[in-house]
Amino acid sequence: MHPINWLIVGVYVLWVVVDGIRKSKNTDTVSGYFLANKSLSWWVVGLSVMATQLSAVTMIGTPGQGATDGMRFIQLYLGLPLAMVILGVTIVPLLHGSGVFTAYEYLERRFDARTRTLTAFLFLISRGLSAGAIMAAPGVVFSAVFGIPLVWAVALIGVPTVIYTMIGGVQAVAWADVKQMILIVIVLVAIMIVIIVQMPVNPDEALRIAGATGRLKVFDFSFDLSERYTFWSGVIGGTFLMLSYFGTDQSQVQRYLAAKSTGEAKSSLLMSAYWKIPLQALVLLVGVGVFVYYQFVRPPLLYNPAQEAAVVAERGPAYDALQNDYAEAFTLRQAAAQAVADASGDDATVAMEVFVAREADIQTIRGEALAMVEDVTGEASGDTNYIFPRFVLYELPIGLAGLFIAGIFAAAMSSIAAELNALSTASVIDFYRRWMKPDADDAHYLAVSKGATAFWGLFACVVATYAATLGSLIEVVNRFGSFFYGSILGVFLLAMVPGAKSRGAFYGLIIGMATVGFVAFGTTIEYLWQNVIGAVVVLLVGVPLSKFVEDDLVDAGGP
Amino acid sequence: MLTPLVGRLRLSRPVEEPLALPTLEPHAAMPEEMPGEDSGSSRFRTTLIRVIIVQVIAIGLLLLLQLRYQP
Repeated sequence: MHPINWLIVGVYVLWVVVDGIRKSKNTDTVSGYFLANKSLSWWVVGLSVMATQLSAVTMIGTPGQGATDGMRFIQLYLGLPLAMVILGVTIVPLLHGSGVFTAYEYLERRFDARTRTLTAFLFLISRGLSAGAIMAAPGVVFSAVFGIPLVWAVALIGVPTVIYTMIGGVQAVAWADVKQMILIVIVLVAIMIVIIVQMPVNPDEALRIAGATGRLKVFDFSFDLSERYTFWSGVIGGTFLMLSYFGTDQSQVQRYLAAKSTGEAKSSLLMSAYWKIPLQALVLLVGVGVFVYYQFVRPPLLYNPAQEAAVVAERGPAYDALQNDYAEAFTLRQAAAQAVADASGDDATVAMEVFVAREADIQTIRGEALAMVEDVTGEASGDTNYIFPRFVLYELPIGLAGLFIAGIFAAAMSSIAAELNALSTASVIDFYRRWMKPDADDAHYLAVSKGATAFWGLFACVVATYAATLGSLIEVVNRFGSFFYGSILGVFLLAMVPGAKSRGAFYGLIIGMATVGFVAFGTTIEYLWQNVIGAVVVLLVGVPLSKFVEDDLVDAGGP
Repeated sequence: MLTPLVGRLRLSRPVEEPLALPTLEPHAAMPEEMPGEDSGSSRFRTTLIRVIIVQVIAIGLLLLLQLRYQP
């Protein structure tokens, strides 16, 4: 990468760390450190929530997904605005006004200690590992693209994040998120403009080319439970997923607990409701733009340079032959794409059919190359994740590429910082202060909180470093997380049911998770629906258990 | 319907509630509104209306994109 790009990245990271440390003022109490003394404005909290959710995976993988699969992924977010509105009138006032530090602390007030402890424990396990996975994604890409060891790439992202999170607490995290969110949007808009300017066809022609291959099929109205992204899974399953994520996950809840008032907390969530779908559409459209751009500029056969080098070393002649086929197929597809852009009327239909056939030829050749990667490296290629970084580094002007890399740092740091801050809060408030040392002073808890942040930061770095070799394990961990997301939401919904008792919550949660586990492994029902199932089962089990089973019976069976 | 279940779970001795904090019913757990909430609630309503408008426009534009360019 050009030195100017590195300079931009370096200056940005330094700025975030120094400003984060400056924001450590007034964080000498537990309330200041974890909740910013409930002093943050709605727009700061809103941008922080959005930045937390927009991880480096979004910046790297989602445009790649737009380039290969089109716009349909956006259906995942259709339920988000509705979820935010529901949370604004239910869980947000409940949590913000009750003076708790964590969402799980509220569950003890409403139900019992074991429900709080179990949900907090599930959060620590899943989020601790996912913090590592979030750090690993950009780390692996940086490592491959820049040719640096994975440990360095992880350290470049992890160390500055841990420093400003540990010193500045939630205040530093939230203000860093504001900068990061602004940077991310600027970078995405700038890249979109550059793509449009550099493409040899106009936007209307570009959209026709993208549409010919199905990449502009945004909505799928079929009601198929085994299809991952449909309009209905997005609206129904997506609503439950977003209710779970924004309503019960401490990494999100902690943002709006730091808002000045309940009204400001509600408004902060509505900012995501406002911007999430347009922003996600922009990210995917950038990916679609990259796809069209690569119709006229020949892209590499394999986007991951490290994997390409491995294939060349092991299968040089076979790969060269494939490259020759690819060059010929690309020339034919380029002509076909231009014909789609130029055609009108009945000619357009014919031109599209030819173009689709040429595109299929390219995909067949790429499929062979990816199979070679799997043979040589023994792992799935994940080539999609390298499309966008490769495009940025090779096709964008100096400076903008540096801003993009800074944007990836921003996205990674904002998500990881929120996770670390929330993990530290849950560790200290739900375990250390609750079970080990309930009567210590603020200074003691503050010191332990900073230590907990450092511990989780180190834990995430270690997980990230080994993530490349633990690929399938990380996937299992992510899947494991989806088992209890909906069920934890069910417990919070149960909390709003008059007469619901702790036994209903605790056993409802366990049965809800078990049911989702069965559905995940025993059926083809897609994961968005699993959140619905988890929440509904907790209510179906929890309400009658609360009503009909005597107090001292089921509670006795608890841990 | 749950009687058999109750029978199986019954223990011979009562067990103490493990809570340090009192269990609250929903109405007791609901927070009081804080000072300055009126302006916050008003902003929430205004923003809510804007959210609906923006989403309708965004989804409408995406649908138009699909209808216009997707064969």
